[in-house]
Amino acid sequence: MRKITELLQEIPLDELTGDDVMRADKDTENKTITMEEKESSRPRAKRTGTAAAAVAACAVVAIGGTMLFANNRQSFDPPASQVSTDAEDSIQTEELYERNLTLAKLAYETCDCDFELASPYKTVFSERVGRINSGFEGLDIRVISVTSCYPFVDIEVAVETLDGSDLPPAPASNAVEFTCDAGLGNFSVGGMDHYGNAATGTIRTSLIRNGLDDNAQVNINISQVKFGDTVYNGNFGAAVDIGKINYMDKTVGGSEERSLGHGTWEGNINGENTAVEYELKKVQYCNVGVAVTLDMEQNYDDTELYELFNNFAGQLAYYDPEGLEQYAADVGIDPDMDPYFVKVWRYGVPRPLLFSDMEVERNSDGTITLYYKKTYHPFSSEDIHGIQAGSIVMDLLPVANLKTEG
Amino acid sequence: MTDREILELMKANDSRGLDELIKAYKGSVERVVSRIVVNRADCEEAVQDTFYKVWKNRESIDLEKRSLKGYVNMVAAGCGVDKLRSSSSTDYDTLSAEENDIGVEVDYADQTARAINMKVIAECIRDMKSPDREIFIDRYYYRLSVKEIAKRHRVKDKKVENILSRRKERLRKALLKKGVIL
Repeated sequence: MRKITELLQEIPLDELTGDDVMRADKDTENKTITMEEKESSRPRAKRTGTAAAAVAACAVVAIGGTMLFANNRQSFDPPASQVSTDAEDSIQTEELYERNLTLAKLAYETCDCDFELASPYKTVFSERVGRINSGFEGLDIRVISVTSCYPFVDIEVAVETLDGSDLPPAPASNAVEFTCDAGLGNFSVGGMDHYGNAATGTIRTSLIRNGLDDNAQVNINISQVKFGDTVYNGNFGAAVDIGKINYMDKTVGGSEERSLGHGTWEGNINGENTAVEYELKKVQYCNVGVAVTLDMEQNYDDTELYELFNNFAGQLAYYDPEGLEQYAADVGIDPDMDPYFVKVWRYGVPRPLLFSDMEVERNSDGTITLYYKKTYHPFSSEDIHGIQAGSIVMDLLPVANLKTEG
Repeated sequence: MTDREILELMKANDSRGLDELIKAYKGSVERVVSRIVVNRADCEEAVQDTFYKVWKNRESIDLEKRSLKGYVNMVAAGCGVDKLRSSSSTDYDTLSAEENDIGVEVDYADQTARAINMKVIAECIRDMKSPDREIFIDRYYYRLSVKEIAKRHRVKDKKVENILSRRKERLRKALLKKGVIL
């Protein structure tokens, strides 16, 4: 047999994706997986030793009030009201807030990140948000918090056992991806992190792509939660008020008259190096994000902009230094090329800005703004004394204010 | 209920077997189908088609050759692709013989050789870096067009083609090194 399609069709999909494979023979379970500054689609803890086996939860989620994956024999209830008034919720408000806060912190604590830096952008709910309308026996599911920093909104969901016992184990160390309905156009959901008797995950959406504004309501539905071979089915619905949108609180430039400099950068599109020329018009930053506004010489479509400023660096950031060289060779990229357009100067040295997502906004004056999200690996914006965009380095603080690391 | 028990019920024309099948694999089928079909109605239809086809073919299902889950997922992928073909909103094209040719004759006839080759292929694909793995699966498992894959992964067509070409060559080398080739 020579046809790849036929060769693959003989193999269960899970074995190709690794979603459902107990890879006990792999060394990943005994290996420290270090993703210190890189934000993947979900916060990934530094997992060491057997802790690596702790994860794998999958939820089928619909967002935007539609349910894509419903069996057509099953009708889904509309999302529950934001605040449940039913007596089944035995947890008191204060206790619920504390529990939600504890869960919200876990994603940060397990990767040695400072929750407090992200907390100004986060609303932890003190009331029950969402309700299980059917199924999911033995589980409690609820939205625990919302994190917003324009143009991203993260809706954080927790799954817990009602009796406090551990959730079923999962066979793989990496979380299985959520499967989502595209009811809102642009959103993404990472896996869930497994913390014994609880698991948490994030649903992310873009305000730009979905035209959401302050206090918009986002409907989510979860129809399945899966831990390895253990599958829970049901219907969880929530109408989540995203609240007032937070914006980056520090801005340099931004006036039409003022230029922050002209720069160049060697980017990459389709495996070919591309010289990008631009004028830096504005820099915005905060604890959980950085944005740069550029007036570009060349006209790029959105795909090319993502390719230039997101994909390459994003891909490379997943790999360790040794893997980078191999990966660059695999995809035909010059390994000596600097993949990071944006760097943040902290403690006297430039650091590649490792981010979990990027969004492009086209402004009415023809400029574009690139938003980089760092919600799960926040840094103190007070420690930043420079932001570099390609060849331009913006000094933000007097040298005397420089701190030394550690 | 075990896969064998589900299948026995189905082969005995007991509709409880179908109910148990749906209960056990609906989520898995939805996941497979939703990777191919975006439209909600198409997705639902493809899920329904999948279970209909599995039920229809129940007599020929052999758990010695393939797990029930593997079989159901394979049917789901086929139903998803069928639904794509009938959908004008999604770009779908057929693979050329050249693109679909791994370049070596892989032994899938002999059971032992088949098992070894399947393991080599699965390992090779699992070990691909993301998004290469997803792109490879999208093209050769789901048979999405290069254009559609590029759109979904927000990359250029050319990049998708480059990745597919390199990964195909890697797979060929892996089979030559560890597989059973005729």
